[in-house]
Amino acid sequence: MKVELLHLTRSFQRGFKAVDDLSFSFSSGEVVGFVGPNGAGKTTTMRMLATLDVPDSGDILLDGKSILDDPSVAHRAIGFMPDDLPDRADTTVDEYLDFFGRAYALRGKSLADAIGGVEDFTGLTAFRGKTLRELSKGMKQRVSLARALVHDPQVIVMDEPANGLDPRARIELRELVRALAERGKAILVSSHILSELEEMCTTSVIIERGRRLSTDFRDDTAWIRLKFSSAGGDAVLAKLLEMPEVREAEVSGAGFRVRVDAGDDAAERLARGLFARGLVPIHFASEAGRLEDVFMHVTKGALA
Amino acid sequence: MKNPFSLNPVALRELRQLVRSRVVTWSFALYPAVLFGFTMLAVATAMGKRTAEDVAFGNGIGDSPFTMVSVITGVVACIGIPFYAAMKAILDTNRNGPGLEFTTALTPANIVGGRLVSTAILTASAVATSMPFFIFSYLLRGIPLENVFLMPLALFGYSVATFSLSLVIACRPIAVPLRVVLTVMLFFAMTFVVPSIVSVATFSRHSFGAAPADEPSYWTALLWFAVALAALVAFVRAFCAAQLAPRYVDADRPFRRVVFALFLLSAPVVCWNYEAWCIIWVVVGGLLTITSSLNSREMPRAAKANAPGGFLGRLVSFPFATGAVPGTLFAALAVALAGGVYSALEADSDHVMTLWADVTELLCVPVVVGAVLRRKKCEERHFRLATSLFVAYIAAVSVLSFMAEIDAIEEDLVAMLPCNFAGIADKPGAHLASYGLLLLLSACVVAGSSISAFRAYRRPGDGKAGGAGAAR
Repeated sequence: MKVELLHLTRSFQRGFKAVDDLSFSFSSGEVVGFVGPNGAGKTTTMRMLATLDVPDSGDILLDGKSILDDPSVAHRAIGFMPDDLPDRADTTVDEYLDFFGRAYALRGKSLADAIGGVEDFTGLTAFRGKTLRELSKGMKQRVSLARALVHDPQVIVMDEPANGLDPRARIELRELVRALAERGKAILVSSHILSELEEMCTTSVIIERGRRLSTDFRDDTAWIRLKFSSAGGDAVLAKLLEMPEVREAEVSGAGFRVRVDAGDDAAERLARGLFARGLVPIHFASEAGRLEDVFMHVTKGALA
Repeated sequence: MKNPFSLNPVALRELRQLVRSRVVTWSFALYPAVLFGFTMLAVATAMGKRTAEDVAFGNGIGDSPFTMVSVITGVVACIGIPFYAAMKAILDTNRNGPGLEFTTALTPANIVGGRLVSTAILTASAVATSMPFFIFSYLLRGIPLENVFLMPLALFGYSVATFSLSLVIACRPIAVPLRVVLTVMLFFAMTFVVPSIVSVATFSRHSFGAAPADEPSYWTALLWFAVALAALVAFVRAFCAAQLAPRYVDADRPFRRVVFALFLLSAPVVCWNYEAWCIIWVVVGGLLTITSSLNSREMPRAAKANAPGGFLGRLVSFPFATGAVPGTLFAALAVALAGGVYSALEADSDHVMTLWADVTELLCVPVVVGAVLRRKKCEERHFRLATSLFVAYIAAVSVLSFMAEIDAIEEDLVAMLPCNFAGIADKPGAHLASYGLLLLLSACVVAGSSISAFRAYRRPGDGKAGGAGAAR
């Protein structure tokens, strides 16, 4: 399934444009990181995608069909996981999912199978009889995800799913997202934790003030952080810049950052080249946070 | 295939939550005890007041406990339960926009209907709990058997009506505290209505030996009450659905269909009470026009997407499929005019003609105000200003003329009325100038407003005006 957001614009009172001529698309199997400072328009865009809000202009197409003309197309195809947690405190996990399953017109065995399936997938089977009040924040996030998946949607929209989760829960969530992508779901996920998005996403869309700034952080290069025992920073930097494997190099703290081709082969060539030039690194590590670099580079932080 | 007997998911969810609510559980546990205590108290009091004459004539003492049970059930069913459900509805809609259930296959009408059904079931449970006490009162004699069944039905109906009205407030897009205040005011007003409900019991007290079934007016009133309740529930369900739905959904259209259906179904009332029928629909039509005009997204994309392709089809469906100007208003205007003309031709009744004039005057104001509000979104500033001044003039003339007529009628100076239809045959030109011109000008404003909206009412992509976001 292909999701296309075409020139979406959404204004609120006093002419504030939350989303301004925003366009991008993604397809089945893709995990798109939706990144932007606070107030950039991420949630508004996701709400429009989930049919909870209406664009002033523009269109949203699912496999070429406009969800503005026929919202039921979106209701069947999209599972929306909002940033707020389920609020029915006295409801059990089973009842909560049962309601949404029925709301998606599931009945009888198909309803039971759907609930059992999502509970199993999200690890909620042991908690099915507990009320939402008794669950931790991480488990409530799982319930929210299970709710979004109960009708087996082809597109999943997740607004800050890792917000407030502990490290273990974040890792588990990341695994769930990967598993969903492997099942062929098209996933749009927003988060403030950019390093995590980088690990789970196949591409990204960065927006600020409702406008798209960058679409992809995944280029064909990678940054590697190096540290040497010997002094003489300028000389080492000069040697690094002479190396054919190195596209770019700079001093970073007590060490260096070098940009090389992406992939293990390039890293191995760099290591061999360093040894060949008598540069023995005591620290050699690929640098995470490329998305952070892109984000800081393209956004101005005016709204953050 | 959808099972028609499956319970609405929203109703099921609400009932599950009610079962888990300690307030509800304890209330239902204490309710029979309270009923029992007060019924026994009423019986004891009635026995104490029993005279030798009562004993000699065999008069029963069921009247007093019956009234007591009616009052307690009335307070619980007509105030307690609807108030609880209304507060719950207000808190549930305390979000920045529609809830997640609107992303599902449920329609907005399903969602509102679920709440109505769950509250109706809760009320029915409370009334059913009272039934043994009503029957106990009957066994004490002095109460017609019909009342034992009619009273719970009446209380149930009023409860549903009260909750329906409170749901209208709960669904309004205004601040939560204001909604709570309005709801409290509504229920405060309802405390004055409950005694009138219990007056059914008073009716029975005054009809010892004569069952209400013997009174045709009793059954007629009951029939009207049932019809009015069904109409109210249908109207509220559609209205609240339109209020709550995301503007993606063309939620106004089902609402307009319901209104139009009610309008047609109510047409026979014209035969009995033309005045009441006209005034009710003038008020409803005017409110709808103003509401739709204030709506910043009055013509949903879905309405345009489903617009018929042909010009004629669009023309016919336009008033009822879009929020431009409610079709009911056109219909009300047409029927009001037709009714007035018919009366003038057939009965030559000055009274009917005066009424017709009043109705059309009343009709002018909301129609024109609504039309101007709508035009604000599509016209240049100077045109809006000119139209507003014109409308202000019409409105002022209408109101002043109407008030002058009221004063003149009160002072029995009908013959001096400048716009009165008394003696229309003598001064047809004067009457035409008074009302004909007024109506003509109003119709021009409405027509202008409608034409501008109609131009935008076409499928997205069909021409310049049909693109997304056009004509909002």
